Amino acid sequence: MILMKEETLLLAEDDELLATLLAYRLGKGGYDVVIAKDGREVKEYLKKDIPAIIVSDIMMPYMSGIELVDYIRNELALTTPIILISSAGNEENVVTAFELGANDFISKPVSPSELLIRINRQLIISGK
Amino acid sequence: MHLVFATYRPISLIEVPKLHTNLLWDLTLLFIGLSALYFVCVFFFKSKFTFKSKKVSSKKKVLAPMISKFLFYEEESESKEEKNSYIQLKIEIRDLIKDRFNHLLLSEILQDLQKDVSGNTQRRLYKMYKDLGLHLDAFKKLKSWRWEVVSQGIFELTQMQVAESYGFISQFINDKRGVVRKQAEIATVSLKHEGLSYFLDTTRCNISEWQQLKLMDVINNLEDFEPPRFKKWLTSTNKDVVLFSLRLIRHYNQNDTNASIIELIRHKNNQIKSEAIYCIKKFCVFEARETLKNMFWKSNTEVKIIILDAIASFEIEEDVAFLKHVEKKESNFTIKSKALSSINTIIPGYILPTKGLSKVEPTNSKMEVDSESVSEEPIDNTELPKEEELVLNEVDAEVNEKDEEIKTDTISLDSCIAEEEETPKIESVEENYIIEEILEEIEPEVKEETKVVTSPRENVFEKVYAERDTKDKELLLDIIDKNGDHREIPLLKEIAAKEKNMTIKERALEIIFAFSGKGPNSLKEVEKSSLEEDYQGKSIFEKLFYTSDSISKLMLLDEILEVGDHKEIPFLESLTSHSDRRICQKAKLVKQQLKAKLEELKPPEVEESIEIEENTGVEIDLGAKDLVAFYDENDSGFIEVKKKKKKIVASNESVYPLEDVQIEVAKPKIKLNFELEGEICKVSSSEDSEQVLFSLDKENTIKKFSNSLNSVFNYFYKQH
Repeated sequence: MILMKEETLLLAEDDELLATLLAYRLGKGGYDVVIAKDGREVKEYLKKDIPAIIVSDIMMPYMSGIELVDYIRNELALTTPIILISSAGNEENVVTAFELGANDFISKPVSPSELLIRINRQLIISGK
Repeated sequence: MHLVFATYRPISLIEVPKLHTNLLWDLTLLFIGLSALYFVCVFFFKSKFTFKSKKVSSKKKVLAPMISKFLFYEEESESKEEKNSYIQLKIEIRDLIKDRFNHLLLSEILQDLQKDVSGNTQRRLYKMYKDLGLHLDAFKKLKSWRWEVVSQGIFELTQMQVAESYGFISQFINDKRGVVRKQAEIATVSLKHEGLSYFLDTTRCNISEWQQLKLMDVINNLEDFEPPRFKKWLTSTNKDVVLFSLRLIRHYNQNDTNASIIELIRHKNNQIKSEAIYCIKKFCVFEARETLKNMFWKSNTEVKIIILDAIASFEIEEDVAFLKHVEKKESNFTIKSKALSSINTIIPGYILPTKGLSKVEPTNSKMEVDSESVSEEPIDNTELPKEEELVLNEVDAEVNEKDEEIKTDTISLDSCIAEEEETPKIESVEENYIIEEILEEIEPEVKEETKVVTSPRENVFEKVYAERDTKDKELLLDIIDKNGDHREIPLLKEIAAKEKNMTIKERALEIIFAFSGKGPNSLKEVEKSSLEEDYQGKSIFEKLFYTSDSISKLMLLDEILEVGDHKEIPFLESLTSHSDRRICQKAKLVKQQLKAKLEELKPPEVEESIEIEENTGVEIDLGAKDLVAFYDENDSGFIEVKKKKKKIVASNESVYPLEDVQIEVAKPKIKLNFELEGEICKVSSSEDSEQVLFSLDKENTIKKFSNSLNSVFNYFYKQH
């Protein structure tokens, strides 16, 4: 049985330092942040739980952010809001991700405060 | 006794080296030992690196939350417990960095993180870096004698935005070591806003293109940066500084330094010259036009193209002459092409494509006005007399000899901007283009059809005009009248010749007359002067002949044979002593042929016209019934109206052109409409004539008559 935790935020980021930094900031913002190092961990997590929102880097080992969006939207058929973190100059991938169903994106270098605002807004839009 | 002769003696080619077995064993042991040492080293270093990375990873795991907590600590909002925790954390971190490994690791972590975060978090990172005294380590690196260490130190201080290091780093701006110098340049510009000015003032070294790009990127990313007026550095002795300043001037649109930029067009360095021209182009410095033109001939191909581009961007029609001159004089294909495209930028459609177009057949040169006598058979141009063919071949040969460029690929481009009279083919294409434009207004799809026709004029007429109803035809003529010019005359001629509806025919003729007066000034003047001379009894071709080049002269001689009369004989006589042998021979030939032709053309009709000549006056068809107005020059101010005996309009001086242009069929149709000004004095009638005598305003009437006659001459002159 899958349980829905509205305050859970899944952060998929392979850079451990950045992941820790963002997790700390988002945790201070009121979210229960779960860090996944790569696409496999995201998949495993999604099998047992569904977060309120997913924040994912585009460039990740095993599964890219775009593949992740495709997997969540088409295979799992979830409507969970997805925010992508892209590197500068990677805007083409962002367009593809939007076409596949990503909700928002933010470019690196990331402002943790800005990310928090975007997450809040997506949750308001999705009515969660 | 047996004598044995050795006929075979074995010779060994390869001999086995005599090695001691112990030596072999020693060597084997040595190589085994070396292999073992190699594997031990590999294992050792691998373990070492693994251990180090594991240690770094575990330390990062410890330090990362501490850094996060440290970065996002907010004094005002945090509780007392949090504050205590923060102070505790600070002490903890300070203890940690006492260890050299932790110190370096923390420095590395902060440098990594600053790349991934922005805004307030980034600023806090910089602050933390300095608070923990990590920058002191980077300062120490600046004192190293190793260039890579110095460079690393500058890089760290720049990344972590340690403004205090500005003074130290700026000393490396003119360093001999390239890497250190480049790092210092970026640091100086990056750390303080005034760093750029200092750098431009101080640097004596080259600034590579790549370095300029990097500096530009740094400048673009500076927050609240107010660029200085870069014109200050246009006088720098360092050419790279001048070049970089020009680029910055262009980037920041500092258009208050036009005079200096114009001067820099004359710079010896082509890069600076090009950059100055780019600035001129961007800021539309019209004053630079003359300098650009002057410098054009002294520049290399690349700069020439940039100059042409700049001139084109001004879009001033006066520059077209220069561009045409460039196109003519330049041998480089790229420059020629650029000149042509520049002309088209200034005046769109000025140069039309010539390559890959269908061949344009020459239009019928004879215009037949009378519909009854219109010949439906096309003129066969191949049926030229042999001698004429020879002359044409000679002309072709001369063209080939004279213009070397015509042999090259640029033949069509050359001909594009050559004088219009030298390029009948192109003119035809241009004519077609104008017609296409006009037709496009009525029926856009027609344009597509006219684009692919082999003989545009003919097809335009047949496909577009002939199938239209009267209303459409009138509309088409109105548009031609409104938008067209002399180039539409061939089509109008065709319409006039083939059209059965008299109203449309007259309208076409009307437009032809109108356009004849609208032609290019030069042509108009030549026509006018020729006609003036004609009145004086001289050859109509004389003036035109002397204003033409030798090829045109030969062609004109052909025309004289075609349309000339007895007045051309003295002129041809004078040409028999011409300096050009070909003209001389041609003139003799034409004279003979013309004489023969004139002999043949002495029919009774001519004698009839002589009857008029006997009247020593001008007989005018009034276009009404059988009445003819007769103006007697000798009887000053009087005109006689008689019943028409002949249909021709002629005088002593006007007989020849009408006959010579071979429009006998047109004679009955020519009508001269002009007003007579004067007062009726007397009316008398006899059996065969009615006489009306009135006092004539001689001056005005002659003027009006002359104008009408001029129009006729103009018209027929155009035809031939």
